[in-house]
Amino acid sequence: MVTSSTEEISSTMVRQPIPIGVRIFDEIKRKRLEQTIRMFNKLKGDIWQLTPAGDAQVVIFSPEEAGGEVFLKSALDNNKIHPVIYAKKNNSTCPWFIDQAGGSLACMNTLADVFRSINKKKHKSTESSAENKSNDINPFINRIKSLTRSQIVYKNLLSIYVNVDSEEVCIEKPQLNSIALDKLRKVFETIGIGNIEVREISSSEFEEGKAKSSIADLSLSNFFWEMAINDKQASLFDETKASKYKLERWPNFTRLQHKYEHVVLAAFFRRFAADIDTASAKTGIPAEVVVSFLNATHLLGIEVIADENSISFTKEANLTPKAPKTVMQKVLGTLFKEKIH
Amino acid sequence: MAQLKIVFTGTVGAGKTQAVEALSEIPVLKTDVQATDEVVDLKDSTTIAMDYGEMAISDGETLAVYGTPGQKRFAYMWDILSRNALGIVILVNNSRKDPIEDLCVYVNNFKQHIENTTAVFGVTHLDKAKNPAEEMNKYYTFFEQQGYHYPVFPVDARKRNDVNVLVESLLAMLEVG
Amino acid sequence: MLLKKSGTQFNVDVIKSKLSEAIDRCDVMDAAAAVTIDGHLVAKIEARDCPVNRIASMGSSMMSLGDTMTAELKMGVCRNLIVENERGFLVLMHIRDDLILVTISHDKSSLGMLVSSSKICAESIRKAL
Repeated sequence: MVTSSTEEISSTMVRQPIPIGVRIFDEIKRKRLEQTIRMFNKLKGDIWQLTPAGDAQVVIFSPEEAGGEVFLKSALDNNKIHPVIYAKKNNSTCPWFIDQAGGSLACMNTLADVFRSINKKKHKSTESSAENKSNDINPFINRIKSLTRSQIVYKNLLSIYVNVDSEEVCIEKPQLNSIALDKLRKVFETIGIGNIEVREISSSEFEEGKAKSSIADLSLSNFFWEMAINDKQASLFDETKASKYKLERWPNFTRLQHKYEHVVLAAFFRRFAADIDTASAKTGIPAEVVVSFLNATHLLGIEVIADENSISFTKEANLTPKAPKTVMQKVLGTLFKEKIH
Repeated sequence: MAQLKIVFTGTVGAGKTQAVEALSEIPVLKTDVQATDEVVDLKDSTTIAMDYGEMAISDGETLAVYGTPGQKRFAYMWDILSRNALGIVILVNNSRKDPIEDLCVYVNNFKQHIENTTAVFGVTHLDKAKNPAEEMNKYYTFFEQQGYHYPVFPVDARKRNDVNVLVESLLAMLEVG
Repeated sequence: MLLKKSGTQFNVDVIKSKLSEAIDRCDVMDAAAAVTIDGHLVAKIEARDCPVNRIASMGSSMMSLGDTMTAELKMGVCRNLIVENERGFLVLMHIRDDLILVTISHDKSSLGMLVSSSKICAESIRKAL
């Protein structure tokens, strides 16, 4: 299901930039952040307007610096400011966090999430949909990311323990990794994010959970991929049908669970910038698969919204395969007759 | 009807023979001999003409899987083997001195074939690197700079799953055109 | 002079003198070269302009294919390969496991002589090494 929005990260639309301030006293760090914000604007259109922190709607700050803790408390109490923590670690309940060691890519990903969240709030305020039943994977993932240790639960069918710090993902019960993963996939495929609960747990609860779990052979980002790629009911992160997307790089399919259609989508979006409907029509892959693919690539940080310089795929154009489709089908049939997805 | 074939090429010791073996349903016909040069430090034998494997596909047809020799002095074989291939899989041995430079050699030599068909890249021997993710970033950045939309994956050429992904993405690239 | 690669050593001077002897003895032999099985040129003698540098690696590929085909057909050991051309012949044969002899003649009626002279040459190099 793809919802539409009147606001989007797109250079083609007219909208007001959001005032953003950097409340960092370390000059080198501040300049680096400001440079990243300018780069973000260059890539995705003028989303942000750099302003003094006092006038900003979004403020990047460090709790380790003088007055940082006080600032955070007042920002959390006052709903008008969106605080974004810039530090080595996020020890607070603040949902937005830029890992100091993560470079400009980490910073841009967080900024994109913040923008989408602000956008969504504006959009949602005009809707009557119940927030707690949202199928949007974005707040779901943000919640997991914001908690150091969490338990992901669906009735008594699924229980996963996640430790963001140590990057551990443990799936309860099945001793075999493949069974654990299959179970995980099935739940995300059929249940939908909206029905899955995320709760914060203590260190001892995590250790207890870990003891009765098999440790999945998954990095945290691959775990997020697993969730998103299997979530057939998800709406898009960037909730607009009109945006054109492209991939900055190929997902590492040697490690990520996938189907052939995801590989075709990667080839398509790596080559062309296109909106969901065009991608779906030209590749013959259902729109909901395109959405889950874009969500999953977004979580890996490799999906971008196309700028004017991208090669766009228009509705009138058609793909020009370099080999007959029958050849592809024959080879694929053989290649994967023993492969278990 | 022309034979359906794909070609694995790339640097010495990148795992081309292993990749062909991973895919082939028949014992691979090899032309490997004992190396007399510095290659002996890397492996016991080296391919000097081709590796040939086969996969049965439907209707009694077969998909031929060729592996080329790695060394540049055998470049004439690269051209012979890649004629009429569906696409080229280029494997790069990351443990060599300048793997990006190596990659360029193959991209240049197979330029025409790649333009007519497509290419997929696999980076091998990443386990020898201190930080494999950082090593992969070198390739992603290079591809970005060059404007290459071709897939590049970290692979273990001995693993059927990894080699499958290379072929799968080759087919997807052909499909998208 | 010794040609030393990482794994193998060849006495180039000895090989060269044997190739030279073969060309002196056989009028129709225009060029002779010893190449390693992995395609490196070890020594060559050219009686007339006959560029064999690039032939080294091609010769090793062909010899290897000959060996592979022979093994596939279970026909014992591949003794030699003969390439018959519009303007002469090319003969390839093993000197020993790691070395191949490539000889060339532009004489269209010389195949027998070229093959037998090549065999003698390969044998003399094998003994000398």
